[in-house]
Amino acid sequence: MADDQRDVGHAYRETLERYETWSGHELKAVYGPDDIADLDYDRDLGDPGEYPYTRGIYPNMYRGRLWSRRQLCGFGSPAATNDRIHYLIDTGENAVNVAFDIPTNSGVDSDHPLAIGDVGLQGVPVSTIQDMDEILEGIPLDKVSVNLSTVGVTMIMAYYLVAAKRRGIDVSELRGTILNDTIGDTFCGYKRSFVPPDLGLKLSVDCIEYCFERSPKWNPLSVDGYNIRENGVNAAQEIAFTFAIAKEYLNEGIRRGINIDDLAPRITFTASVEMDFFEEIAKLRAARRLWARLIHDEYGGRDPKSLKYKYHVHTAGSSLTRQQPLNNVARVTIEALAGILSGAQSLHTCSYDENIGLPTEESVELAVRTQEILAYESRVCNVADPLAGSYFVESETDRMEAEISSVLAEIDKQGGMIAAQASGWADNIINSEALKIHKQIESGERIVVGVNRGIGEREEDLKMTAHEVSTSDIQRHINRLKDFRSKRDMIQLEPALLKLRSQAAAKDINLFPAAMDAIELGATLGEINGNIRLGFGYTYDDLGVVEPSF
Amino acid sequence: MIARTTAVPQRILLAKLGFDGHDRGVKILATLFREAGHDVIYLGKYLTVEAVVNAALEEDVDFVGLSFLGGAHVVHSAAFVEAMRQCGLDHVRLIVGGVIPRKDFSVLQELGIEGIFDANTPSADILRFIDEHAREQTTT
Repeated sequence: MADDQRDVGHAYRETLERYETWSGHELKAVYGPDDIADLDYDRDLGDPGEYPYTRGIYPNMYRGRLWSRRQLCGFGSPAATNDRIHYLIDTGENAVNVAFDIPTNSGVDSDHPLAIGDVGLQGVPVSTIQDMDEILEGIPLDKVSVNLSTVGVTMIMAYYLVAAKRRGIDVSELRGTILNDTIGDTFCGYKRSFVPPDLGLKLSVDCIEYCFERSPKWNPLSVDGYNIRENGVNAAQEIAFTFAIAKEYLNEGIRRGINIDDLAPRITFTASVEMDFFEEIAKLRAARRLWARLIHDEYGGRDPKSLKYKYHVHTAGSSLTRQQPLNNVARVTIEALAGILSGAQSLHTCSYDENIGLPTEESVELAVRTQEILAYESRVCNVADPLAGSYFVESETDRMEAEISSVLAEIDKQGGMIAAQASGWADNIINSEALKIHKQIESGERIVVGVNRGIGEREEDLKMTAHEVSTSDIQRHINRLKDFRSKRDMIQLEPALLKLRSQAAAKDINLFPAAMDAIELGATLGEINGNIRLGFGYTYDDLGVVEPSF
Repeated sequence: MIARTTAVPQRILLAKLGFDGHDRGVKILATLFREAGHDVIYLGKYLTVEAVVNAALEEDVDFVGLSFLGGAHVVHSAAFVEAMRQCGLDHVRLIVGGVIPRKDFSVLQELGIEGIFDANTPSADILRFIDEHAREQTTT
């Protein structure tokens, strides 16, 4: 057939229609010495482990320590989540990453009247210390690094500390991270932000202040660029938003009199890695250089620990497709490789079936195996920053740095990130970028295989099932919570909560000690957050449903 | 841009129920439906069944679209269908979309939901569904 022959001939000479980066920057066909003529090795790159850390924060990178393989995990009841964490550790994961369900991440208890239907989905519920105890059972908290993946609920840290103390673990040995990014929480969009920015800023910095002396190996704040990126911003905007958020915490910490070199080392980042291999690598190399210069020049940080941009990479969930789900394994591999070549400290690889439902054990295991293949078979960990010196990569790194700086300057002009959020400026950027990307996909301008190229459904794909959360497990969890409530010694608990409330009203007292006392006496997450809100001048329940019992 | 083929713009209410806030998709659809020529009310997220049903009543809508990601689509949809029936909103067409496992399609269909669209569905398919299920006569 003549038509077929023409198609084959066309395919043989196939070219792309566009040569843009993911973020829309037009690229040249070839890069050469002229593109990096201004690059000064010592000033702009430095050896790995040397200022400005463009090439990585450690001299020998992955020879010193491989990245943490940290799969987000949490669903159903605390017991079910504990089982899955043990399964992941047995499978080969070397760090733990706990996801909390949406009611917990919205600061309320599992028996909140509006939480019905959402308990135990997208994460594990924590309403009481017994839930936290159960999630962590059998996990050596003084040896394994644990990530508490909650952006907005600072007080999850207080539950974690109480759980560690109850097990007799020295809290100075705790190693891990809590996201604790209450400002970023207002942008992440996937759950209700129950703390207004003034209260959020206070709680986030309380957490840094409480942890930095007592648990020096713990990272008490990780600014969350991942969820902002997932909502639609481009690569440079993602980093600029996170730096602008970090500046809010730094400014608050400094206002309290904390030294920049005590403060800055405690802040880490969570970054997204999307499908544009080189742009993402350049983005993260640029972020390292810019962070070092920002802390050094703008804040006067001098301790090398203050200047190092440390980050966890989360491969981009929004790049995955429901169509032909196995294709997502290829996408995740490309993104994970970019994350590794960029010099990440920690990595979560998405499961290929996330657009179908909750990942199954098989798909989670495949995601861990993908990391292992990269770590042990691909040999990409042998050499630090192997792409350095590439005309293209260095030129892209410069471009990303300039773009991030320009967005950051714009946010500064808006009065900082909190002001840029309050005015709607930030949301406008997020929404318009998301719409632009969507339209490009629908018009075919942005190619997504299985969606607008290489389309075709396989019967088996449509039959793929998601992991089922056991409704009886969740019901048991809620019943157990009600039982726990009824057995508490209210004569002791009530004054403890009142003390927390009055300290929140005082506004300048760190709330961790009072919160931890109340948690030990049985306070629920909803009670802790409700009393803090009430003391600080807000309603007890931001949903306006639950009233304080005293 | 895809334009509506209906004689009159359809009144479409979009919302998210419960605690899940993943709203990138529903906000994009609100814009695309509007650009296609329909009257769209995006009510927002973290809403109760009562709030959305009351809005559907007050706004006299032709369609309600509910968006889900976190796995609570069956529980919330069932409660919503029940509340709609009790309010006499049987003429309102329901659309449910988001991360919805295929095996739940039949469960949602049994609830009487005709338009079910999982992740990465082209918006043209959803707009075609609206065209084909449009209420042509406005209730005056």
